[in-house]
Amino acid sequence: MPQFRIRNGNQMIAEGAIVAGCRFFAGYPITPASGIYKSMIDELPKRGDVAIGAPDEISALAFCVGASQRGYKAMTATSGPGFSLMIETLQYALMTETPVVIALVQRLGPSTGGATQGGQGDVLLAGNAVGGGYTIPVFSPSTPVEAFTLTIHSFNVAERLRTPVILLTDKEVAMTSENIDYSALPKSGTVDRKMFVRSNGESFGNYRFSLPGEIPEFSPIGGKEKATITGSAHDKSGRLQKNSRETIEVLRHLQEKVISNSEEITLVDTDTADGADTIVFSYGVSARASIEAVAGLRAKGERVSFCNLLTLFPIPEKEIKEAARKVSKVVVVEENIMGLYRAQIERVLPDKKVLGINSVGRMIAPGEIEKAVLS
Amino acid sequence: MGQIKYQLPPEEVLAPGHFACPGCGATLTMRYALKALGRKTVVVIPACCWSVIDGPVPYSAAGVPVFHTAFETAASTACGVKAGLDAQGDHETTVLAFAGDGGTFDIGLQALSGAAERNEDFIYICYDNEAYMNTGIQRSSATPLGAWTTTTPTESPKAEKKKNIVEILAAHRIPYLATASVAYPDDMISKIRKAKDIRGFKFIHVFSPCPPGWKFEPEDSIKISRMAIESKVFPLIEIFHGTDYKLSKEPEGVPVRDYIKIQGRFRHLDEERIGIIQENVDEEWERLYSKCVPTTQAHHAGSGEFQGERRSSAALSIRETDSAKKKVQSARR
Repeated sequence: MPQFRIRNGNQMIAEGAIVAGCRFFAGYPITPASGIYKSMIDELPKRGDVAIGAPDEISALAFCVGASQRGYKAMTATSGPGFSLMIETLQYALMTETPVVIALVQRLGPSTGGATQGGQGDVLLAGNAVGGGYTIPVFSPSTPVEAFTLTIHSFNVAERLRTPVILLTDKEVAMTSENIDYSALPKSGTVDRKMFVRSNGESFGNYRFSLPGEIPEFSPIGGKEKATITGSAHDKSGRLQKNSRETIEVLRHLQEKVISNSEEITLVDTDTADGADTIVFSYGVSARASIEAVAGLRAKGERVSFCNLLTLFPIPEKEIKEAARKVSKVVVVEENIMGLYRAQIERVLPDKKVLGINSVGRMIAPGEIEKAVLS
Repeated sequence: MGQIKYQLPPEEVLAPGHFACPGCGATLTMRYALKALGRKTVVVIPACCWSVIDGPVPYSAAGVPVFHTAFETAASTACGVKAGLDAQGDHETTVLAFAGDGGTFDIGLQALSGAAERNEDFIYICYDNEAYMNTGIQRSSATPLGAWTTTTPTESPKAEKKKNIVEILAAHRIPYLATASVAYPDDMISKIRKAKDIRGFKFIHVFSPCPPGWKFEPEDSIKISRMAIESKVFPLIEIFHGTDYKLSKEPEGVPVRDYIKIQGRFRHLDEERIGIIQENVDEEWERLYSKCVPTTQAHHAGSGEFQGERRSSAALSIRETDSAKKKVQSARR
């Protein structure tokens, strides 16, 4: 029996977070992300969990980092201007290997931009917000259902890799309500961070690993083990060090643990057409228009493949190459002026002709995509 | 009908055709502030309702230059603008930071405190509508105890008291601090004019009713503002140098219940909770009233008197000493 309810992306992010085991939310008002804040305020306290309003975005993410270091799965939600304020704490979360999820609902930017206008201009900011070029996993839903599943996935990746994760959505996906069949919602398992269990004579170090790609075991601050948490360069026990061999090893590990596990955390949705000569890549709301355009082209007898980039970072290079293997023409559809993600795909596919379809301050219509593919 | 005993400056610097909701207290506040300050004013506005009220292209209702700045930066940007004017020899243009309660009590508090501590020479008006109204009525630290907002739902309304921003600013010992209300435009305008004539940091906290956020009919904005004063919820005061308190109007002392009952945001409150709010208001009032000097001995409105007081103020003499030191230092270099 289908069970239909009308929900938007923001509401489905909140529902996904709760299914994923999120027990702490801190929010600060900002359009178009306030719906997540509101939903979490409505839901979490009923369960005996915590949802609080922060006095600013710096605090909102710092609340989450604190709660996560006590072992709670934590999330905050914001848009471009608020995300800018969160960047210091985002870097801190990466450095301290703190699992936390940031739902970043894009609006027209830069700066205050357009609060009630959509956009996809924060894609590289999200992926490259950390000094040193460290990779933060970034997932991008294009529907409320994908928002639900990718929120759960984001929590799972955060827990598994002990890293901040960004769920990157946009105003249209976040605030457009759709009919959702709850009986058909994908069932996802949840992952919890690996806890440190003391065995004979073993000592605890908050950042201990043997191989660079390994994830350190977690122990909550103020618990049985003495945990030292620091955003300064540190050794495996969290002791502040300048540039000792062990500290450099930790700094390499922070990237290595994400890259060496990238295959297992990468999700893309590829719809290949036999004998296709063209592939369309897109993400977020632009993927919705692209799907419609591809269906329209196919109805006209055109052979076109499509790839919905549910994972933006780490860049799914293998999947992009595989999806584009047989085509000669690549089209990237996104709502920003410069073709931000197109530049990434061009780098992955140096031998292909990569065409961008872009807009700013308005959504891209399926007709524009069809026209560009046929040109 | 009683006679009109005062006259507002006739010039309307704020043009009609703005984008505010009907009954908006923040818009009346801007109207009166610009009447008081005139056209030689630069207004610095962070993210707040007024980011929108001024109007999209081709409109700008304000009639003066407007500097729309980032949420947490009203006081800092105003410092920069004032320093720029000073450096260019323009000591006449008034710099007005005009921010909501979110941008003042919460995210902008650090910048505000810094400007107050440095005794920067501009006016900061906070129009307090007691929540983040522009983003859809989320609680701020200015939201009063017991109030509904979308993030303090009726089943768990705001459990904390409103932050006392006036005492925070008073603790900075700024030369001039006042509260004002749209119910008394003459009082508000005279306070803003007074602020204009005083050098150093001036803070004016304006009670700013919000019909959609507080859930009342737009025509009741002034009535609610008056009730807030008469019930001692929002006393009208002035504080000089952070220490000399003066009551602008003796409240009638109507029950807080009468103020609460006309607003939808308090509809869920039972008599017991209203009683708790009444106790809180009484307690705050007693504390404030004990600090107020009797009106007859208080500082009067004439700006000449302020000039005299200003010179003797500790804050300013330190400031002068500092700048004198700097001059000596730069001479040595």
